[in-house]
Amino acid sequence: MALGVALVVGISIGGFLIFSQIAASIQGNVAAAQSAVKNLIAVQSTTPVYHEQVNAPMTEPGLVGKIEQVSGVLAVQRVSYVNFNGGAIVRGGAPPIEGIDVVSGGTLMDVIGNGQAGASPYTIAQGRDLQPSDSNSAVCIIPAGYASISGIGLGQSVQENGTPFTVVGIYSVGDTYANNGGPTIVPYDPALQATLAPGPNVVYVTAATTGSVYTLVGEIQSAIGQDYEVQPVSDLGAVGNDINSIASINQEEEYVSLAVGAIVIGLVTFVVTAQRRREIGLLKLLGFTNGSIVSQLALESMLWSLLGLPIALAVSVLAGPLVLQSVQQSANAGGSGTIYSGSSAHSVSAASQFLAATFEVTPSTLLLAVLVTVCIGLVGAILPILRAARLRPAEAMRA
Amino acid sequence: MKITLDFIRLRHVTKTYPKTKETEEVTALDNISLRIPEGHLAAVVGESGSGKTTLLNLLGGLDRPDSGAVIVNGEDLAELGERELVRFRASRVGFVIQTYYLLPALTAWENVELAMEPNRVPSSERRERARELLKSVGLESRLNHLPGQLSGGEQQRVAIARALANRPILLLADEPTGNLDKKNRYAVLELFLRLARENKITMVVVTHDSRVSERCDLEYSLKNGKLRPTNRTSKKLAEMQAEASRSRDMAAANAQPLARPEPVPDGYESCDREEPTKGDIMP
Repeated sequence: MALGVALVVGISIGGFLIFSQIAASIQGNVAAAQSAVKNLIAVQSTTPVYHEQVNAPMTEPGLVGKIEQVSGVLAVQRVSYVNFNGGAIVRGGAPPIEGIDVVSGGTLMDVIGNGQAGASPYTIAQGRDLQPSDSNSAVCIIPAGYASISGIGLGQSVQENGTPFTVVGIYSVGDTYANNGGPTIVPYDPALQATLAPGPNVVYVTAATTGSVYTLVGEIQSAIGQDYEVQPVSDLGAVGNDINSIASINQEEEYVSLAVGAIVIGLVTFVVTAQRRREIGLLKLLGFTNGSIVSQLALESMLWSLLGLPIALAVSVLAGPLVLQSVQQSANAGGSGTIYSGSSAHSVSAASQFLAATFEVTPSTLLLAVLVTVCIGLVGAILPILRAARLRPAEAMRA
Repeated sequence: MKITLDFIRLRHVTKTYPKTKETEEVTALDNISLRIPEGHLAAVVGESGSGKTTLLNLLGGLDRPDSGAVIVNGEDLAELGERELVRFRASRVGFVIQTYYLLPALTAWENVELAMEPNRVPSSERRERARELLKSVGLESRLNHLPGQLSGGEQQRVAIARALANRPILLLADEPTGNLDKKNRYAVLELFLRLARENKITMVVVTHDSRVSERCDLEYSLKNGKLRPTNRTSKKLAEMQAEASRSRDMAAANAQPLARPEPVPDGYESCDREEPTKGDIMP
């Protein structure tokens, strides 16, 4: 019986560890992403822009200057989506304020791309990412698939509208379609020069604090007039829903695992104490107090529970990465969606961005496992133990 | 040596088990009264279900009567709180039960030691006392054997040693030889009686074995919840009562000139002077 109990308790607690770690990771990443999104404001022309339309109306040249004058603006980022020859999409971007890196850095800004191309958070496979110091240089980074198909390597040039851009990096997005058709990313000013575009499609404004976003929206709107739509980027859309539902499922599974462990321990203790009624009767007969009997049984129950601890750790180490992988796959399956509710809808397929990249058992996981195991042993067993302790000695002896 | 005639005193004790889904209401003990003098061995004989174990449970503080008083060595158990009853069981009473009730995971030695734990007997003393007791029941060579490695007779010897571990003033035995074969039955019985007498312990044994009851000083029969002394017991109790009265009278006579009470002379201590009430079975 000991092995069976250890196995069930171990699997339950292992499940709890896996789901709790994944759920915590998701929650943490979602919170960070939401925080990043919540203080972002998109400014663009009120002229309708369709999903497929990449050459959206440009904003007036002085717009950025007006926005920068508004109090509470931390940073302004200009982004243009333009068609180059051959269908490659260029996302231009440059830091208008010193120290703000708009083309790299791992924030949500980096996943803003063109829906058709399915731009995603990228990782640099070869070379380097674009840097703020590249603002006025004709350099670019290109997707790995395009590099492979075209036979273009680092240091070579790609022609965009007749302007040569030197390849300083090759990026990967983990998606074949995006790798092949992903945008060639160039600094903002050289991009405008190459396309002769008058200004950015969208200006992203970063608010100094999350709480001031709605005030700032009103102030920017007053400063630039009604020709522009000013909206907080606050809707995580389908991606957010996917992530939240995954997080919620994981939490449910975490609770179910805990409940299963507690129920098993409860049942085992119930059976064991029922079998040991006569022993309990004997202890009462010999003059042991209820307190000493309860503490003895509780200790035994915790030990039963702790038997499952090594199995729990083994299960979490072995099955954790597989479960994580499965969760990530399910996230990716439905993970493409809008990241803000503006008239210009940009897509991401980045749900996996919010999931834990690795699964590992840390000292805090171990401590959590021990605490949870002990608690499960106690909580599950407390009712049968109290029931047994309440037995009158004569009743227990008759069992 | 002085003897307390009312070492055990039951007054109009009734115990009823209420009706359950499976059983009708059962009156296990119906207004019974009983006196057992200190140091005497008393047997209660009756068929299964006659209320013998209930009587033993009341005497050992394992259960409480619905009405009446259960007095052991001057303490009314019905008046004791739960903690005091636990303490009473731990320090004053030794139990021997038909099915031995040894913990299977503990050795003979540890089973005897276990009984001393609630009384917080120091570990070294527990160990030594348990060894001595097991030696006295002839199990010195089986100290470290688990119950499963012992015969029925040997297990009952361990149970007897355990019952004596706290030097009880009262020994209660429920069919102590009931699970033993004929050969072991009487050997264990003789050992049991000898140890009780040697240690001057008052003992109540419930049994349906007449060989056991015949070896005791007093003998009662329990039937349908009613307790009756045998003729031999009635006669003996009457003699003891008469002798106690004579002793009291002599003491009173000797005390007159001195105008103060004298100690009761050797023989018997004062006994309960309450007149038997109607239904009391004492002579």
